[in-house]
Amino acid sequence: MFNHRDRRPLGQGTAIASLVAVVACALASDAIARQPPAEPSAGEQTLAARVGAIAERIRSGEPALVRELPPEAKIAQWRN
Amino acid sequence: MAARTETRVDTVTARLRLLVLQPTPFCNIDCSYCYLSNRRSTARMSLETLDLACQRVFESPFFDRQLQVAWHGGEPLVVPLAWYEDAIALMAQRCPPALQLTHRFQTNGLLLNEDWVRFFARTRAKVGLSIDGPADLHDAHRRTRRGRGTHESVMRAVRLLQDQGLPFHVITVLTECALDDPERLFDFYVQHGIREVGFNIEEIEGSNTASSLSGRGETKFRNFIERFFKLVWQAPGLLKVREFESVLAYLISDGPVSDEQNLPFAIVSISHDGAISTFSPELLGARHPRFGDFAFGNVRTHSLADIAHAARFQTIRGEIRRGVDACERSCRYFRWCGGGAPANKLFETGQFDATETMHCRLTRQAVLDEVIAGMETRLRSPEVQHAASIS
Repeated sequence: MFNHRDRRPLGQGTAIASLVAVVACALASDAIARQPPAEPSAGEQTLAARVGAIAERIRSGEPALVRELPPEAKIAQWRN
Repeated sequence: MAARTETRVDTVTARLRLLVLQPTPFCNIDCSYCYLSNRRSTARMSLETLDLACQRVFESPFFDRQLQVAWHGGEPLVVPLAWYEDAIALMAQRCPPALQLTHRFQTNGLLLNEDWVRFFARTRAKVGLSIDGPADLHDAHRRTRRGRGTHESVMRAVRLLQDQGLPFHVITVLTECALDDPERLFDFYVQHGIREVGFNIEEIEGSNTASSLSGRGETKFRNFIERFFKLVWQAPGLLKVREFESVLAYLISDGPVSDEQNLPFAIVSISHDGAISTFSPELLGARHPRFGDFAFGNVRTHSLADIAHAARFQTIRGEIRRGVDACERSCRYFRWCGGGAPANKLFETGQFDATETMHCRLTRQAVLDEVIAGMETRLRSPEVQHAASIS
């Protein structure tokens, strides 16, 4: 029976490579926890400023992420 | 105000990244939201046509070092496996030494068997299954022509791929009824060992002239994305969602995003009878009162360079470019979008030089907004401190 508190799939416990997972874990690390918090007044900022703040926060904690991004990350993919 | 970028559409700099080959327009099921008008046709691509297609593509100045080949129907697996054995051998024979081909199959899974799985493994093809979630959601739309649901069959395909150890991804088409319970959808993927998913939406496109996501569906979609991102973030490494991966990559990267659907010859689509199209693959086989069809030539008579100089191609290319330029002038999301999908602009508004569509509000704006808001919340939240502990 599936356990809703433990969302691991039955019989398959290994984690997959995922940028979201890498960033989630990086943000939980000590290095990024020491970074200044993101500005809370997000609604008053431009979209570019909000993105810039997030990107800077991630880049400063995990600079390798930017270097390792594949070129496909910079072009939208056809969705099928 | 939109950020200005250097994004430009130019055939000189275009690089062919995706070759869409239609072995047949026929599909063995009859999904309610399908955009293909000729999916009852059992016509098939001949090896002679494929050979000509290879010649046209490989002689062109557009290809780069890597090329994705998407076998996209119709349902590609209705064509016998023996044909693909010959087809892929032929392509390997014709392929220039410096070019690396990767084959992709998107299937409804009904005809998948061990022979197909061995073929995919041997050719290192990437496999996608179309599954809309639990049986009630899936069978509401993905039915046979006799009205029978196909969920049981596609889940058999899931187990077969898993038993043989072949990685695969899932594409789910989101309709309004799927948006009510993201937790249930998330649990469905995880419970069945599905590790990668891409969300398509029910689009207004081709023969599907209305979408359940119009109107109030757009708000529900935003709520769905917000909640689904939270689920994925809270359990890092369990489920990879194409939309979140790509948006996060855009946020971190420096350069502006372009959309390959707006770049001539970045995608080339070739139909079963050799008709050549480019821009959005959905244009192949579609018709429009102003343009007729979108076959710019045929592999029997035209090279890709011929097409680039044809009057109708130039007209459509110009209209698409004006649409991208208009997006750049008017849309604050342009920097992370690249100007939207031309097929959706045409089918929603009747013109390529339009700007905002339902498709872009959902798949670009809403996803970007919710990922940004989710990131901001988590950058401020104590829950960030615990995320790693549950991975």
